[in-house]
Amino acid sequence: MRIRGYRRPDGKFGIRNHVLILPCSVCAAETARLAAEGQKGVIYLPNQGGCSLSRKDLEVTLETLSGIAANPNIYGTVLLGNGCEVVQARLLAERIREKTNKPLFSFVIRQEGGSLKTAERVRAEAARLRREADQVPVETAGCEELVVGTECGGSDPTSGLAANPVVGSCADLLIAQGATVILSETPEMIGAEKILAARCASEEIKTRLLTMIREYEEDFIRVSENPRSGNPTPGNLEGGITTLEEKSLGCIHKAGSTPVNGVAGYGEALPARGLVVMDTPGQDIASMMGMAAAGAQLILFTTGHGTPTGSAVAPVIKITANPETARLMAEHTDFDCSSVLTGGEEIGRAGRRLLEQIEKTACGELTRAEKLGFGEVSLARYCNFA
Amino acid sequence: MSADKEKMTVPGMRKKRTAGVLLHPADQVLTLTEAVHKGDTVFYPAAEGEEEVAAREDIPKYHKIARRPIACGQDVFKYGEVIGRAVKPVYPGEWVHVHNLKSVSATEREKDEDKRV
Repeated sequence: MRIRGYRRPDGKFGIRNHVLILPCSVCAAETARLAAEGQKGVIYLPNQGGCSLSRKDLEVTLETLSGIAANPNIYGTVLLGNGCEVVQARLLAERIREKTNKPLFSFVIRQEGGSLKTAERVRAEAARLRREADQVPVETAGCEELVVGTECGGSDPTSGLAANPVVGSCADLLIAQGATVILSETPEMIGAEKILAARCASEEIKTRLLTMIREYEEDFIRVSENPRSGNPTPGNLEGGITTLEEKSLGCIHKAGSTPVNGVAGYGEALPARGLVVMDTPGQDIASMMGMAAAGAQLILFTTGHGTPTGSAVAPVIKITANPETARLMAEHTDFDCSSVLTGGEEIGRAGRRLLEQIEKTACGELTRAEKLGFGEVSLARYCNFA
Repeated sequence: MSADKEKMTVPGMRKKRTAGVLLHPADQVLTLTEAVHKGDTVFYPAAEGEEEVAAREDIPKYHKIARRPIACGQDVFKYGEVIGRAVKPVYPGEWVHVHNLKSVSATEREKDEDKRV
């Protein structure tokens, strides 16, 4: 498989060519919106955080936002802060510089004399970057340049039965061609940790994976939730899921069958190629941001119920095996594999079809969410009491 | 309404044929894409071509049906992985759910907790 896109000065390869306006905090978000308004090819991240952060959350936020700026789908970034937030523009700029040498500019609202003046300058800088970005020649590259995130949301029995196995079979094909695939959503791994652990490439990776899942479970218990006692839920049982292993297996099946080569914290740079597990929350948007921050240029999103979800940074291919959803949510469905359930299509065959869809998207074909201009943003957060 | 008529298990009437999904060749269970009634034939594409099993009881949509005999205490495979252990002998065509299949993750985990220092 060949992909088409843009070579970045840091050596990475993007399949989109966005200019990013990145507010450091919620207090700079509206100014960023003003600056981005009406500019084609310029995206802005409606950051809802960036201040009143615990030390751990500051670290997670810096890591994620800098990772987003470093994502290969981004040509260059204009940062802006209010000036008093915990995520200081200078601090974030330093973190971005550690990850990439792509174009980067930074503004502080108070120093510029308010939002209108700042928005004007940010707008002008973004427009200049946009003109530069348009000069970048389109090149082709191999599958090994691709980092693909996997996600599921609005799941129903068809997700674990067909959509996730189809993505898993496609993940195997991608990895065989040198791509990296990320399995996300730690809460979905509870109950299937032994199966995942048995697939780890080394003892060290195995220990890290089991620790990650255990800590997530302990966090659940700390807030009086027990992920094991209520699972499978009555709805799951009615839908044919008998055991927790079976439920979690349905989810982790998105990762295919290759060894787990590494484990990454939320939004962290990936430690290995091939299949990597990332510690992300169950909330789809925050989970996808974590993977985009780790460099995913594309996300495979399985859904039973159907969802409008997109991502500002990485195109999201939405996949369903529910024939009703494919019909009712046609404007949100990029890939329909309901034929696995209704027409006897083999899972492997649907996986190969999905690979063809990925190739198209990775060569510039817009996803449904991109056509709608949807770019949801959410950052994971541990503590809300700082 | 003809579909409903087909599902009835009147002697002599042609039995309904329903598709099942085999997720991995090692699996002893299939997942049904439609509800089946006792006597219905469930067919599924397998590695060596189409295979089939007759339902021994009524089973709801998206639930599991055994395609191979499973001994009591034996691991039950779906997705090519263990999803639990049979707590009763299971015959081909039987419904596989909470009455004959139990999770092993809970008990295994307790053992792990004991080992942890």
